[in-house]
Amino acid sequence: MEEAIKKEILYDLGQAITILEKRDKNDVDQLRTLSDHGIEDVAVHKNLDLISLTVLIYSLYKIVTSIPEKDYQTIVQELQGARSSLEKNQLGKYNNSIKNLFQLVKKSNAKVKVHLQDVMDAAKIKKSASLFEKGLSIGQAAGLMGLSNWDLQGYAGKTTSLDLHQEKVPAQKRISTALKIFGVS
Amino acid sequence: MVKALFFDTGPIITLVMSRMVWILPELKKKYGGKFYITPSVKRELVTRPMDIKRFQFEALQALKLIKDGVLEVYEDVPQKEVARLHAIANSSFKIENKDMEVVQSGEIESVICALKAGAEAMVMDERTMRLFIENNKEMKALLERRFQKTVSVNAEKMKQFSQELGDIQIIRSVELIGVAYRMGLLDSYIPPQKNGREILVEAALWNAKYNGAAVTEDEVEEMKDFLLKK
Repeated sequence: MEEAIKKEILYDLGQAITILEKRDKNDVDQLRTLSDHGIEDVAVHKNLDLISLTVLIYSLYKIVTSIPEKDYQTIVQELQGARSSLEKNQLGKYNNSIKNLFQLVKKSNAKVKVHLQDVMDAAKIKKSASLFEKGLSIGQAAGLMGLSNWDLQGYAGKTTSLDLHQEKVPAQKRISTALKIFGVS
Repeated sequence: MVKALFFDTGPIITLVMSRMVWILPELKKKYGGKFYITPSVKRELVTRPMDIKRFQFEALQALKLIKDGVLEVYEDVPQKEVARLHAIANSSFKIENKDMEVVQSGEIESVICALKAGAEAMVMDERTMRLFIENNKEMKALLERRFQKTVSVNAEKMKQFSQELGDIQIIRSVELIGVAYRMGLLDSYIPPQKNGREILVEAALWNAKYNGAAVTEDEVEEMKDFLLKK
């Protein structure tokens, strides 16, 4: 793993641990802020480990208030384990911890039955939309999260993502061009 | 110039998802030329969603357009050219001294094929590619606005990319809907009231926008006014 990626992941893990170690009502906002920070790193580095951790943190943000206490403690321990393994460059152990964390999120989500859609898919779509909002193309933003253009385009249309830019060609000119191309008056 | 239009993935997705894809065969008849897609577009429109349950039927609708000959696959893709321009595009912007990959090669493929074939226009909703080609300064501004990190630009590469691809005319899915309206294809939807036409145009354009057409709210208003003019 590249040193720059490792540094970012260790930072995100450290922040997540600090947020979650003491359970309080600010956890939700803090996890959301951390997840927003993570997506910028994803856009810059395009690294699968970073993507995975960003999706995990976003998933935690979505379900943190409803995680049962026992699972909550296990999640904190797994995050600490992941950090410790990465610090020692034990990548196999690190990957196992991340896998376990995703399983814990899935398990917690199933228990509370809050989301109809798998929370991980929702997290990927949301994070992918963030990348699109930042200026990446639909294909690039969807591809980085392992989604299809169908997933992202459907979602982006229902958000303000498509209103964040200035067109150079006036709408009237473009429709006039189209009518001319089709020979319609 | 060849009587042909090249379609990117986005406009077809918009038309399928907004239940307007039926206008394409009618538009093609009126146009009297070819409607092409590239292999990458076919992959994203049909091959990939066939494996995703929630988009399988949408994929079948896109496949039907190919089976019926409405869309034809343009196989003669100049791969080296695609790779060259892909590299230029994705080395035009840097964040934290790292190249920012803003577009995929499949998105560039359609434009290059359209230029190579001498097509009349490209049908493309994709905002990033359009900005890159038509208004690269806004592309830089968009990245700078949205990232909290410093964006540096290789102005020469950015200009080169825009110049090499800038000769193509671009229209979007909403313009196709506008053409369909002017052809009278949507007339059966006009509600029986005084401002029926206005309601129809507004509904059709917003429907496309909510299903991913890259059109701003202001543009919807501008297009509506234009289309309703006698």
